[in-house]
Parts: sequence; structure tokens; C-alpha cells
Amino acid sequence: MSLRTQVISTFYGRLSCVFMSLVFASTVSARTITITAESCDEMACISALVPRLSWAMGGDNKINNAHGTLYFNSNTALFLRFPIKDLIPKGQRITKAELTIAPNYIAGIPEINVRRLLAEWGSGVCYQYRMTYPQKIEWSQPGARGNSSDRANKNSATFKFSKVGEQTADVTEDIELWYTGASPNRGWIFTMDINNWAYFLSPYSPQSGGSKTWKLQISFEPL
Amino acid sequence: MPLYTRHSSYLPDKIKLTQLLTFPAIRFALISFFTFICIASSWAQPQITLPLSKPGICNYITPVMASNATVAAVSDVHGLLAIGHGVAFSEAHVSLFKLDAKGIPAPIATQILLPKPMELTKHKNYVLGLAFHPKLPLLYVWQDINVPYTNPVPPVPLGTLQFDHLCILNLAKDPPQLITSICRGVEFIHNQGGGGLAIDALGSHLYVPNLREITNAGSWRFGRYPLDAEGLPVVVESKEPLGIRIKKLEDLNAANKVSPPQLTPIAYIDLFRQNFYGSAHMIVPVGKDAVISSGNMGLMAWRPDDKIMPLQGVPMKQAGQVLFAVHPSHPAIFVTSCNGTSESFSRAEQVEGFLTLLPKQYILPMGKLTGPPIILPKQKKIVLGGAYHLLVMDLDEKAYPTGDPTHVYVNTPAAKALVYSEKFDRAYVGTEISK
Repeated sequence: MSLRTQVISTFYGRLSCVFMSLVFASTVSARTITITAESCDEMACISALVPRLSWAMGGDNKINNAHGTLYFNSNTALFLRFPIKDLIPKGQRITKAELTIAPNYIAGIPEINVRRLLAEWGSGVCYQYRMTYPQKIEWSQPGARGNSSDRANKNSATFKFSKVGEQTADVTEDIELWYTGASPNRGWIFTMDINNWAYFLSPYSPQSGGSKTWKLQISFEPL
Repeated sequence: MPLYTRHSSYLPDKIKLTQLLTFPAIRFALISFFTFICIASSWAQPQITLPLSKPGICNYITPVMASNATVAAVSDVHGLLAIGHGVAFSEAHVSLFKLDAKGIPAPIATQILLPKPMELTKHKNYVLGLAFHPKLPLLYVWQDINVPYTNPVPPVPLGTLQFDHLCILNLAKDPPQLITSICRGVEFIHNQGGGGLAIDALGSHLYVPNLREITNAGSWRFGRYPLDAEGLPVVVESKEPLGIRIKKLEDLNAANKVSPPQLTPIAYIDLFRQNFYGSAHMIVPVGKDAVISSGNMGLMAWRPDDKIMPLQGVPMKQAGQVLFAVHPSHPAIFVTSCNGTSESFSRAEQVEGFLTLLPKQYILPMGKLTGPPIILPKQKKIVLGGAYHLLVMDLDEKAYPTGDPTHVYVNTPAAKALVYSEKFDRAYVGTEISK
């Protein structure tokens, strides 16, 4: 009797094969991926204080640096776009998606709202314009605050920070909309409506690990 | 004997890994698992990896023999190509080639030696930056001296503080004559491996690198001088004749009072980290009152007259000497780090002097980049300087790299002196003299 026949012919051999097949099959069918801002294919940070800057992460003394710290307050809006369709194989169903952000300093109880961007934005995006090349096109309201035109009219997620550290919000619906193509993926806009301060490691940080603190975890399974 | 002992006794002992693979379920599971791992790891760092370059020939690249060539500038107005030399070439600091009607350089160059104080005969001066005046027959040269510079600054030999970094040459004379040299003293750092020099298209301002705060040797910056009608830096307003103005400028220079009237704000921690290539590795004017510059951390945009936020920085993944090219009609900026081992370049964007959008990194296996990129807009190509080669890539309609890279052999261990002439639609690269 061959070795294979010996294994399969026994009860425990059969059981082992079935168990391993189930374990690996479940790994292949339902999957969870965690991506960070490092995987973003577009990003910008705009501010009412510097209406022409695409990278207005904050700063002082007449200098603004995209690197280091993002100083977030009610003047700020952050845009992040994850290439969802490139990251999830075709023919899947989104079962869950969670967005995690983590301020390392807060003043007051900052509340950060996340909405889907509806208007197309591109080169030269800033507080005043949604693009300045090939032509200047303004937002319907400065800072992409126009509801149902610049951005969705309801929040996809709200983060309310009473202490520093990670907080997670469910964003399954947005990921599903982008993945299925029901809504074009123009990314999220993060805003703060009531003025407080929250400092984050910059999501654009090619020389350090700040981008890894902005996380998106997506679970999906075959249709 | 426990029931399962019979099975456990032969499973680990008698089945080898290769035998395990004969089971379809296990084989399927393992292949799926490793495929998953491979895909997952590629998500962590989205980059665009290009295929290995193939050898090619480019008839729009003209090699120009100039030993230890470190920087180049071309003037379509004057029909001249200037190549600056490093410390390894002692016969000249600048080689000036006349270009014929087709843009072919003359076989023999006019060789120019730049001044340095008598006390520094044991030290070598070398060229970092070159810029032609857009209208007047003037060549501006930024030179440096290999006297060590650290923070704090060690005792320097006599003459170091009398070394003039900026030389202005009159090209109307044959051979060219030095009009004046300025920019000396403690405010100017020395012994740098880089330093860009630039003039805007109107000839209204001269941008100079490698300045520091007087009170902090580690706090670097760069600045700009307005230029007068004769192309002379304006430090003090004067309407006197040229000769008197030059004399006054030299007197102010001797008294260390020729600081540029406009300087970048202090940002020594993030934007102007101390490095070997100066405060502004390269400077390219975009529009009337804005420049894109580069430093150790990446790109900078300086808008001197912007009252709200004149200086903006966007870091790049590459470190070292950061050099770049700005596309003349698209927002694209191509950025390289020229340390000889770099195998990637980035495509960033600017519009009207504002850096914008997320830079994208392109990996060039075995790229070994050593020099700046240049853009050939009519050919829709980008050329990158490398070790004994130039890498050439096509650009698509939106100035994104497309297709496979090709490489062209050039006889230089580091293609650094690389420049494009719009008039002749030709690129020039400084190469070693064939032996």
C-alpha cells in the first residue's frame, strides 16, 4: 500500500486532510487586508489659512512642510484616496472595512468627520480650487465644504477624541461604493467642524513611519 | 497505547516535505498561502517598478568632452555651452563651447580659471552652479573651495573668508573677462558638493545657494538678488555709472555686506538639514516670483513675495544630492537622488510654484543614478544621468513615464553635467576625454 493510500485510508488521516483543506480554503476565500496611507495614490492637505497650498500640514514662521506633523484644526482638510479597486481582487464582496487614525496630541475634544469627496480634484488642489491645472476650477464652497457637490452630505465616520491614541470607525459602505463602482473613488475628506487641535504624524512621510499610523482594514470574500 | 500514537508515529517520521506535496489538498493550500504572502507584501509599498533597461542609441544626445564635468548650462540666445569642472580637473574651472548653427559644440573650448585668494593656493576651488543671463552676454558662476566646513566651524585658513563664491563673467569679450566676484564671508558656507544658481526668464533676479545664519552655522538658507539693467546684483540702490557701481559693490563685498536682500525663512531642522550638497542643491525659476529648489530632504518651493507662506517643503524618499527637472508645459517635476547607488526617480508636481499632489516613485533596477534628469519636451522624453550611461524614457501625453527604459553609454563614471537646449532640441552631456 502506498504512503498516500495509507494516510487517506485511515480515519485520522482523512480528518487531517479535511481540516487542513478547510483551514487553507477559508484563508483563501475570506480575507482581511490592512493597508496604510503609504498605499494612497493621492493625498492633499488644504487650509483656509494658506488658500493656495496643496500641502498645508501646518507650520509656522512662514514655512510649511508636508513631512513630520499634521496640525489639524477647523481650518484644515485632509484628502486621502486609497486605490481600492487595485487592492481588492475582482469578484469580491466587502464584508467589513475599518478606518483607524491616531492623534498623538489633542487640545479639547476634537471631533474629526470623514466624508466621501464627490468632486474631481487634481493638480494644484487647494482651499480655493479643486484643481489649477489644466485650468482653475473652484470648489462649490471653499475648502471642499459644499455638501452633495464637493463632498457627500453626510459623514461616513466620526472620530471623537477624548484621549490620544488609535480610534477606529466603520467605513464599510464607502469601500463597497468605491469597490463596486457605484460611486467614483475620489477619496475621503477629513474635517473638523468645531475648532480644537489634534496633532497626527503626517500621512505623507516618505522618510519616516507616519503614514503607517493611518490604517484601513478591509475584509472581503468571494461573491 | 493511545489511539492516535499509531498515526503520529508514522506521519512526522515517514513523510518528507516533498512527499507532502503529492497530496493535492496540501499542495493547493501551500501554493495559495505563498501566493497570498507575495501579494500582501507588495501592498505595503506601492511603487512602479520599471523593467531592466535595454541598450539604445539616441541621436539627440551630444557628448561633450570635458574632464570631471559637474554641471552644465546652455544659452540658446548666445549660442554657448558652459561646463563646470570639479576639483579633479586643474586646467580650468569652466569650459565654454561655442555652438554652431546646428547646435554642435566647437571641438575646442575656451577655458576659464576663476579667482581665489593667494592664501588658499593649497586648496582647490571648483564649480557648483552656472547660469547664463537670458538677454545680456553674462555668465554667472557659483564656485566653492575645499576648506572643511562643519558646525561649529573649525578654524579656517587665511583667505577663506575672502573667497568669493559668485563670479560674473562678460562673454562679450574674447576671451571672457571677469567683471566682478562677490559673496564672501561667514554668511556663505564652503566645501559643499552642490549649490544651484539660477536667473529667472526675465533676468530680474539671481538666485544663490549656500548661505547660513550668522549666529548659527547649522542653519542654512538661500536667497536672491535683484539684477540691474547691466545684470549686476543690486545690494544698494544706485543710478551711478557701471564702473562706480561695480566699485561700490566690491567695497561692500570686502566689508561682508552683500547679503542677498531676500532670503528664505529659517527652517534648519526640517528643510535645510546639514548635508554635503549645500542649502539648495538645485534652483529652477517657475514664473516670475517663484522657484522650485531641492535640499537634502526633497523639494522646496520658495515664493519670496508670498506674505503668508513663502517656503514650502515636500520630502522625497531619496536622500543625497536631490536634483530635478521641471517640465515646461506640464506640472511634472522629475526628481533624482544622485548618490551613484540610487535606483529610483520620482515624479512630483507643481503648478505656479506650488508643490502639489503625491509624488510617485519609479524604480529603475540597476539604475545607479549620478546626475540630474533633463526633459526633452519636443521628443517627449526624460533623460537621467547615470554611471557610464544615460537612461532614457518616453513620456506620455500627461508627462508620465511610459514604455521600457533604454540606456545609452557615455564615457563618464558619473553623468552630472547634463543640459537641454530647446532651440536645438538637443541634450549635452559632459564626458571624459577618450584615451
